[in-house]
Amino acid sequence: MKNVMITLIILLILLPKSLPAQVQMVTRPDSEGVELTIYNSRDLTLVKEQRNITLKSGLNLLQFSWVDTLIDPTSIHLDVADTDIGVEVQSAIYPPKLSNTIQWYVKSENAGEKKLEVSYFTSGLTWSANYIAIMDKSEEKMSLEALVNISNNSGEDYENAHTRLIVGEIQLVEEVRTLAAGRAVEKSAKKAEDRETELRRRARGAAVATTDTAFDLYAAKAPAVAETQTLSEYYMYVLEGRDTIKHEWQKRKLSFVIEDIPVKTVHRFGEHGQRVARFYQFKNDEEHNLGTEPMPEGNVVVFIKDENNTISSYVGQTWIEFTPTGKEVKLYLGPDPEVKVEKKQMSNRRVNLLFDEKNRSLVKFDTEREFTFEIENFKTESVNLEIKENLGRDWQILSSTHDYEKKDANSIEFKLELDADSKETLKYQVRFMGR
Amino acid sequence: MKPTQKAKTRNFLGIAIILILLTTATINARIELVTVPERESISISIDRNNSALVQELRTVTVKEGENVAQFDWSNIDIDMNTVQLQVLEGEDSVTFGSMSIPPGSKNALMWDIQSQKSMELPVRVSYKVNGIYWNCNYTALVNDDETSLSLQADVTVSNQTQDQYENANINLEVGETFQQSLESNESKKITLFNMPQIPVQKTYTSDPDKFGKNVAIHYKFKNTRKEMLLAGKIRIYKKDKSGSRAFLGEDRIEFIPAGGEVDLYTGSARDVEVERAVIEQRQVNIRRDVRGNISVYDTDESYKATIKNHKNDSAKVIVRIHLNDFWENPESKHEYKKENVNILEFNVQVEPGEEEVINLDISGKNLTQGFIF
Repeated sequence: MKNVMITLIILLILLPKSLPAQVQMVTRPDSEGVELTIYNSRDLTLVKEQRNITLKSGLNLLQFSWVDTLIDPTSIHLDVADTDIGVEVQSAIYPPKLSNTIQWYVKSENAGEKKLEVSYFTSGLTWSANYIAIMDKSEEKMSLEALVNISNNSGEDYENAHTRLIVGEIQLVEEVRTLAAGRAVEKSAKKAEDRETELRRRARGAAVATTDTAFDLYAAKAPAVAETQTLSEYYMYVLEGRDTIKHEWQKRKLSFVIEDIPVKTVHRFGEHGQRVARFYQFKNDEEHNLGTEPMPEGNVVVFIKDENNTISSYVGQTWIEFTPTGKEVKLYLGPDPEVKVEKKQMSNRRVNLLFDEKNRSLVKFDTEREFTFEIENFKTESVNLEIKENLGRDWQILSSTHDYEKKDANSIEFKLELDADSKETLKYQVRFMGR
Repeated sequence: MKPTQKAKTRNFLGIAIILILLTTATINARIELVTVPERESISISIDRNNSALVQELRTVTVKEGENVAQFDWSNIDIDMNTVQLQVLEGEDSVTFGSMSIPPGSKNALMWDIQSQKSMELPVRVSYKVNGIYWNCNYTALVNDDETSLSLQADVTVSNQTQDQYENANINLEVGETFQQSLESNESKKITLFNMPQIPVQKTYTSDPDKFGKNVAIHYKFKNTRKEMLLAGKIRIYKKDKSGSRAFLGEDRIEFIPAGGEVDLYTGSARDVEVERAVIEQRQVNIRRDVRGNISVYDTDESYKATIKNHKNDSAKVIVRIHLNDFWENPESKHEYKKENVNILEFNVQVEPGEEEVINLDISGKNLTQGFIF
């Protein structure tokens, strides 16, 4: 904590309202422990430091100052541990001639060592998730490694910090980085304080609401995430042990490794031009050895193993969105030239022509069209093929050779299982109303 | 003075891929280099999209307690997200902690390794690298009467990285593996296969939308191999009367799966002509509004395509006729295939010196503008 300095100045009260005669000074107290709560949706980190500080009986003046960091000055808050009865933070001031400084008057009924907690928001600390998926040769099972990557560009070294990571979108009215630059301090002070109070309330709530998670699942590979919790609308990862994250360093820690996740290979046509796209599909649920926590959005690197169980090739890199428990994950693997779908429109007819009774002009008509899909699977294994059709508004399917599911007002989806080395033709007829 | 001995140095060309082991205590101060293990073996897998995965085996010496393994590189384009360190033996005695990326670095990774004892630790480092490519070229030689061809596939593997790979096992996704050394900026060509006597069909295609007034020559054949054909350029030759090879043309193919069809376009024919003409176009069943303007009508239309074969061989000619929307009752003495709602395709065998005329009658239905042809 080289850039943040907390100095304790003991103030002797000689006369009421007299200027303080300042008697220097007690040493820079050691940080008893830093706790970082890093939000991944915004550039926001809540830093909490506990300090044991020896207070005199009466009024004490505490000073907190910082240089070259991205601290939001409106968010700095001093708290007294609940066990320290008789200690009260009376007021906070930003002295006019000292920049990047806040002072608190703390009244203590008795002298002695007190536990104080300073908290503030900073920007520049971020985290993101990364995944490494390794497929078996059979492409039926995979292992999934989830990593968390923490970057520190805050200007501050954090040593031996307890780290907690928050997943979820958070609303901020102003960026912490802006506030750290000293602009808009006053007008946003109130809002920032409200926000801080709210976050603090939530953070406290979470400590109580700790849930037992399936930590045992991960124990074998010694993951770095010790605990996961739900926290109001957010989800929190608590990293095991303490971490030192210096300014400009990045740290990657293993969040979980799950083996033997059953994976289905799915081919889709209709969203990637004329090509058939290939996906690995699984669900973030118990059936897939997952489902204990949401998966934060992140980059996924996919490898495949050979018969010797060693990684034999790189399949690709893809991005997954935030995936709550129970939701499906699709890893896009690019086009597959071994499955071909050729879509053709085979007919187009105008029907139900409607004429204006008065002036005999054509007012409206429907059209009936037939589409065929010539499908060929060149693979030596069967293929699950999904065909998505966007139809626009107001349509009616007149006939279809295959079952389909109506996905929404504008689209239908066919699901086919293609045998190895096979050809198939899908046809449907549709009437478009008034167009 | 002795003549200077020719220095036997390895030219690293400024590239460095280094795996070193550091003691934790020294990281923040000066970096003490404990071991720089050499690469023991290397394999490169290149998939069909030209992504190259390099895997190296190295042995690092760890001490009892905390160790840091640092993997860094320069002058080579390694994808950091793909770097993996895997312990091959003795994994029970070591625990991997967190991984760090030093300040400003896009090319270094550090792993914390806790070891129960001092030992040699064989590891596999794998990463994706940009700059190693394959390129496939085909040579097709058609026989005299153009009914079959032989096909040779050559793959060139190029190393455009600054790294050099000695005795690397190179795996191509199409199932080929070979051992080669690849210097920086070196390419090596390997023949993948040579298949004789593949039946081929030569066609002449008239399609105004694709080829204008020209008649296009195509050679079609099936991929009868068990593996897919890699994408690449294919050159087609034929032996002339003196027995030397004459170049007929070239095309580019995409990936052709096993059992898939290759369709090569090699240029335009001079000796096969197709003349097209709209013979008749009439509006019928016209419905008008009260002001006399046409609101909707049908049409009666006729089209003629005349094929002339000036060659000494019989020609398989494909004539595609394009249609606008809303037609019905097409009629022709020739058989045709509906390619889609806008294309009818006629396949006609035209004997040498002969002429063949295709007539097509069609009705437009409920048109509000234009005609079918």
